[in-house]
Amino acid sequence: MENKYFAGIDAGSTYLKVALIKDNEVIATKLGNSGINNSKTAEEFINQLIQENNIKRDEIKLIFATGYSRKIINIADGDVSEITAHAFGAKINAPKGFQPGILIDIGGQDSKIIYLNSNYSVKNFTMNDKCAAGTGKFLETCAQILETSIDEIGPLSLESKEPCNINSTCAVFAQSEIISLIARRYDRKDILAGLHISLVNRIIKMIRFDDFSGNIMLSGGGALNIAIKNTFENELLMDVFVANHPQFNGAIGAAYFAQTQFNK
Amino acid sequence: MSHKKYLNLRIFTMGIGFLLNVGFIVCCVLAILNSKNDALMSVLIPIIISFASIAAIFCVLFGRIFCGFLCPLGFFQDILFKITEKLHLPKLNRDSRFMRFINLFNWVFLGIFLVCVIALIVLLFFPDTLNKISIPFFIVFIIPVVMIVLNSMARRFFCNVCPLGTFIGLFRKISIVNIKKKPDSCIYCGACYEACPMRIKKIFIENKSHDISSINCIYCGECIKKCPKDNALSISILNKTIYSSSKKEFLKMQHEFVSTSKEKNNLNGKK
Amino acid sequence: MEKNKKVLDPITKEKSREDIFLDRYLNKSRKIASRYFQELDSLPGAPKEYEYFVNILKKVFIENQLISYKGNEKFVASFCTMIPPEIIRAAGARPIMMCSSSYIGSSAFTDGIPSSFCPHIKAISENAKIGLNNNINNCDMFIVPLSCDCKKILAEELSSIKPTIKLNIPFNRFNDDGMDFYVKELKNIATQISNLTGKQITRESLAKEIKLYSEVQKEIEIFNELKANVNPLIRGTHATIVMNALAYDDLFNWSIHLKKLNEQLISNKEKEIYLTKKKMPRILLLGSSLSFPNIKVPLIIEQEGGIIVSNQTCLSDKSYDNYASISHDSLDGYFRGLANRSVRPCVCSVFPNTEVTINKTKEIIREKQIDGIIYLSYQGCITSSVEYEILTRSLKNEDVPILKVETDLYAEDIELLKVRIGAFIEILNFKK
Repeated sequence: MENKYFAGIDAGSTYLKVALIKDNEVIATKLGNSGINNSKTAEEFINQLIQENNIKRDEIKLIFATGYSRKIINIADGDVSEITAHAFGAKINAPKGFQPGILIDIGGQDSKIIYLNSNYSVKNFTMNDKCAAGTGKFLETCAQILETSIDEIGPLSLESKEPCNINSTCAVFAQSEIISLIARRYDRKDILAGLHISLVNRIIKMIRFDDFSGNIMLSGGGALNIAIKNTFENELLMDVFVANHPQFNGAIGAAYFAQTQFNK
Repeated sequence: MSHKKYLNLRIFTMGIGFLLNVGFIVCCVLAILNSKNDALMSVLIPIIISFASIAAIFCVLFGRIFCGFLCPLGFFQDILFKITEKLHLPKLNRDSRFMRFINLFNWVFLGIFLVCVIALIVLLFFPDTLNKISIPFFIVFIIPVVMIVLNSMARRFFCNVCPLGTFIGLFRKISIVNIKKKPDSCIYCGACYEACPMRIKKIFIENKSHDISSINCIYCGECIKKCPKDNALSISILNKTIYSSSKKEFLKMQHEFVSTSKEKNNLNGKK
Repeated sequence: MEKNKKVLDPITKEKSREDIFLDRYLNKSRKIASRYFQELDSLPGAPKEYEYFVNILKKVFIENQLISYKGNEKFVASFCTMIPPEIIRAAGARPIMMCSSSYIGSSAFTDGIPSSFCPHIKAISENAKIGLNNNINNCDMFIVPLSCDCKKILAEELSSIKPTIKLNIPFNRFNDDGMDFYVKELKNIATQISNLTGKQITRESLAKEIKLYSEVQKEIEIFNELKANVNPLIRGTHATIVMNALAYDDLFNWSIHLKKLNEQLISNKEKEIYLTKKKMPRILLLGSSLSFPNIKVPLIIEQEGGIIVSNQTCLSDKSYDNYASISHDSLDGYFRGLANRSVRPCVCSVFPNTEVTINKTKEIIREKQIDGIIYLSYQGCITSSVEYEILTRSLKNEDVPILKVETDLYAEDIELLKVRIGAFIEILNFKK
């Protein structure tokens, strides 16, 4: 029987993500810097995936792209908007026990809140792409100032017993506030905990709870940070799920969408 | 049915009602004056009693549709209004405060009316008492003149204070005639309230229930005529709709009031 | 800016400082307007008769000219349809809608108005102060309804430039006291305009205007039905331009051309010449006012593949829906009928009775088979944000998604809007 593979490309502004699926299961993923020529990078990644997984090029039946640069990816057969891609991705990327409710995608430069129906179709959505507070960029720049790597800020902030209050609502001004907090001898882990709370509250402000049934799931680069998941649970007083492959939700969704288009 | 048909039906029934009521009054007067003539009385009294009882049953069953379809006073007022309309007299503004004041008179007049009915029955059976009562002439003259003048400025003004109407209106819950509203179709333009000669605000304000029957409604159909939406207001008998609002009819009749318009300034002609 | 000093600039000795200022102002406003005219041209499917309406806007925004049909016409600029144009016309003046103003954004003239303020008020107040926009500059009188806080401030600003009538709106519009008060206000407006033009309002002249206006409303209703045809005959953006042109043009001349446009669309419908046979999602556009040159939201919606079948913003369908219902054939009765029509069924978000808005929106969703609603609100307009919340709650059972677009008059956020509106239209496509 012929193997039918489908590939999805999420061409974001900083990172390019590619995912390969077959029969609703994720086979392989790849992540790297987008570089200047997104199209070329995408093609390289696809070729690497083909080599690493010992499959032939014509076994990949359809490739769909999503993300900001989705319309200029030459190798893609079609494109789909990010909201739709994330909703499709949630269907096969959700952990066991997740009832479709809300998907919160915390990306590098934007954050999205997608309200899902019980069949994973999109009911409504909200996006924040004007302001950095509430996106991954916020934590990235703050980590730089505190001279901590992005992987460590999560576990380190969990050790805090008394998080600081961060007053600034703007990501840029928060940086100056951090420096003044350090000068006043606040501990690094307390500052980090306060920053996580600030980010989570920015996102919570965008959510409408009156129309909500089901669970909350996180995706995107921010979902890899365990402290973000904990802070959400503490602030919302409910369990929060994390997608199985958080950073690749968009790419997986595009690939799954390609599969549904092929089977029509 | 269209408004023209509803209006013609009303004129027809009001004409018949006028004749019937005039006949009834003539019979009553004859009975009072000729109380000694037993032969005449044996003809008149059954007519009077049967007419009165049929009228009573009719009023209870059909409610205040009597006012809009059969009342001779109503007929008189409508004709008068049509004639004085050409004079373009200013409109008497019957706002809610004024109406609350006027509606008090309803109950006063109702009391006087019941007294008159009792007096009429007493007169019929004890005709001698006729000589003992005397009604000052000017009351009989002034009240109608005032009502005529007010009616030219406010359609059907007497009906606002009519005691018979109020009495019949008390039975509206059991009558088979209803006026209904569909709140979903209403745009709250207030045209019904402006057009209503009884100034019933419920037609305009009601936004939940379908039933807008009121002690004051005389089923003249003016609200339905002025309503610009389809089927928002309707009059029904035994829950079957006989007359309801229609947008097409509204647009057709919208400018029947424009009596003088020498210049042809419409879109089909040139200015 | 001192208008009376004609000082020759030392650098360019030909032009005076005044003329340079006028050139800069016109260049800036023309650039914005031309850009939107180009985008309109690139949107396919405009019918032939639509040219007349675009030319009206070009005359106003590019040539900076008044649309005038006879000499010595008196212009009265009003805001909102809460002021019945029949009264202005019967008194012998020409009504103009003031809410169509281009936003130059010159910071030197917005002192005294904070930045988080209604952008329309900022634009108008700025243009009025600069005094170079002929449509505002050549008006003889302004009428401003005091319906929201921003308009109250605008009325104060404008009264220092030209005679301004401040019209009090009865927020207790369902009470008799409110309507009696409003009838008095309208009679006051009529008197003041008569003093300006020298022509008194008579019963016959007002009756004539009411009749003409309701015939124009019938034509507009035919146009609205053609817009919402099952297979699209005209794009919503082009239809917005058609309706917007009425703000500047004379009612009678505009309606003659609308009649021709309707005839063309009807003949297209009979010959089955449609814009496209593809099924596009049908959108209802709601919210604050939308006026040229700030038509970026309808342009984006239609470029991303939706079709606007009903436009319930000010200056479009919403203002011409309701007919005046006259109950008494006298001058007083006409004023009462007009007062009722202007205020009671009005769906502006400043009024507290929300059942009027909710009923109307539900009716449109039913009649025109709406797939999705896009709610347009401006930063600084609190009442429209509240109306959005109320609508979202009440329309839950209708299964129609609502997207809120919050924007300003600048063109800077076009890319952001494209992402959101594009995603929304894609969702609607999948729902089918």
